[in-house]
Amino acid sequence: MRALHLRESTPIVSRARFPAWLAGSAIVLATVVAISMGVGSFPVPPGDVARVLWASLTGVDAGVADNVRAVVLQVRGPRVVAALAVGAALAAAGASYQNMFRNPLVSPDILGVSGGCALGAVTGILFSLPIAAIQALSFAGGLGAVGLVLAIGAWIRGHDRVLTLVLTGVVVGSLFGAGIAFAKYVADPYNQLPAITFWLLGSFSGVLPRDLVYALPLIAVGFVPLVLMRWRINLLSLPDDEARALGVDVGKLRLVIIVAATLVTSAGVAIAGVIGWVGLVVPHAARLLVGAEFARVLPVSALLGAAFMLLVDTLCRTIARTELPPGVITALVGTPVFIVLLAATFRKAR
Amino acid sequence: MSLAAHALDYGYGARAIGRGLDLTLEAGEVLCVLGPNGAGKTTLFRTLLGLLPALSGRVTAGGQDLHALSRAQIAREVAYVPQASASYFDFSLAEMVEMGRTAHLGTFARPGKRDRELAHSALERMGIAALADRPVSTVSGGERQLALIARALATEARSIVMDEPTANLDFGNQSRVLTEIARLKSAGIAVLLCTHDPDHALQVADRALLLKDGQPLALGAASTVLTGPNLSTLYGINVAVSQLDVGGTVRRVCVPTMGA
Repeated sequence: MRALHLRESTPIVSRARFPAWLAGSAIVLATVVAISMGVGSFPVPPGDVARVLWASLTGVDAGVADNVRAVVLQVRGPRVVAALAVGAALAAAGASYQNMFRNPLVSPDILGVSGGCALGAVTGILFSLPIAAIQALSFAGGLGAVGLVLAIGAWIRGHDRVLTLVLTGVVVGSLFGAGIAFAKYVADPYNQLPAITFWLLGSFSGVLPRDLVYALPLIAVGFVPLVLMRWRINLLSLPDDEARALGVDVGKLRLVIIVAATLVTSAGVAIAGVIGWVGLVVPHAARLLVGAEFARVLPVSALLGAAFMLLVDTLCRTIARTELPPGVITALVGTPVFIVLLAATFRKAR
Repeated sequence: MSLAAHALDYGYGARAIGRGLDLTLEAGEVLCVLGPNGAGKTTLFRTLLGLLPALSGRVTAGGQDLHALSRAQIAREVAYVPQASASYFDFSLAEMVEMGRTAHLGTFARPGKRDRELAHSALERMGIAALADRPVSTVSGGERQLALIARALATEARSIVMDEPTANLDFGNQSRVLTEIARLKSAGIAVLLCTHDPDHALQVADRALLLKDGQPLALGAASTVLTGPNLSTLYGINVAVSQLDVGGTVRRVCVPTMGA
């Protein structure tokens, strides 16, 4: 009751505030990039970071030492790009899934998509396949997971859709978890097992430019339908009959968006392994800022997701002597947010 | 003729709920469907909206067979007003009504200035333009229902099908919604609605269809169809229709009578 009162007393002018929040998100992102490029075991002042970046864009001489240039462009550069891409990808995919399932509680990891992607990738590693094939298997695994969750959810037809989806996702995720455990059991402990473990923990420490060469274009391709249909995607959040009566071919649109969001997720998982919670927390924050409309949620989610992921990774490589897996920090942030959201959803439904 | 069914068999899969229904809905007319739970009202409406394929016979909108039309083409002819549910994402009322413009927009398009104006004037016609920027979750059930009617108006369809527009509303909101429905007639819009309250039909309907087990019990002018004996047969209880003088105008009201 108190929450309702609070909402009523705050007039929502999210449409008018959108440009401000978009600009704000971009500024946050730029700030995090500047910090992340600078901090670490070899600190680089922000001025030098800016000079190196400017020089690499324009081709003029940066006027900084070569080792500074190498740290910014070769050591931290790829890692920063990877974190930005993965954060934007997971947040955009999460926003899309939440919209499609009419549910603020779903995200790539909770739906089992990340688990499916991971199982696909682990299978690829187990058979020593080339990286493109691992990528393809990861995508297939993700698509399989979302298909399975949807099919089981439709078959159960529980009258509480939220609970059905969340529980189905957990069950499907644990099934994939068993598959992954089996893969680890039979993997070669010297070559394959470390690679598998790395994937499952999630990390940006081993990101190589060749990983980005495959994954970045896939993320870009997945983003195309999401961006082009960013308004129409709103219609998927309505009950099917309503959306169809408004003139949408729901089945076709949903298929396109599921494939796009899963492609984006699997490419993100291919870069950095399974990193949970980003796809759940960031879109929720974006909706709090700019309202539910997807054309506004998508860009703000992507910008904030990129900033959040980079911030997490920067913390991971600076707060302790050894690197922390980013999933630890995202879980620390994500778990309480999920619990609060779950409570709010059930209170609203009552 | 805005919306019509010809020798229509409707139902799910192979199971027909109703057979051989003939129905026409003219511009500026309100047709009310009454029937007990399970009489097939929702199934009929879904068929008339093209959401469920006709088992046999045809449905036409604006003179064209629904079979031959795309989803967007159907949406430009017949609009749907569902029962207001609480399960929406928290769009503002304006954003919700702008979704009524979908069938006029290309796959990659967003509502433009004209679409926003149309949505706003639809909200104005429903008397809730002041709430345009409020999230759906913060308005009353009646206002939400009016917003759904505004969304139907924004489609510019000539027929509107409403599934129990007064369900789950309090007394005052029921009356507000009925008043706005009556006003749609003057704009030449054809309205097909169903309700569980015969009094609502007496208030707004020009014609009425009484549906029992998928079969039409009676179809015709509201004044001749909505009688005590007909309603008694329809619901299986004793119903009397009486006249009430309300400040000089005579209104017909419906009362269940106890016992024999």
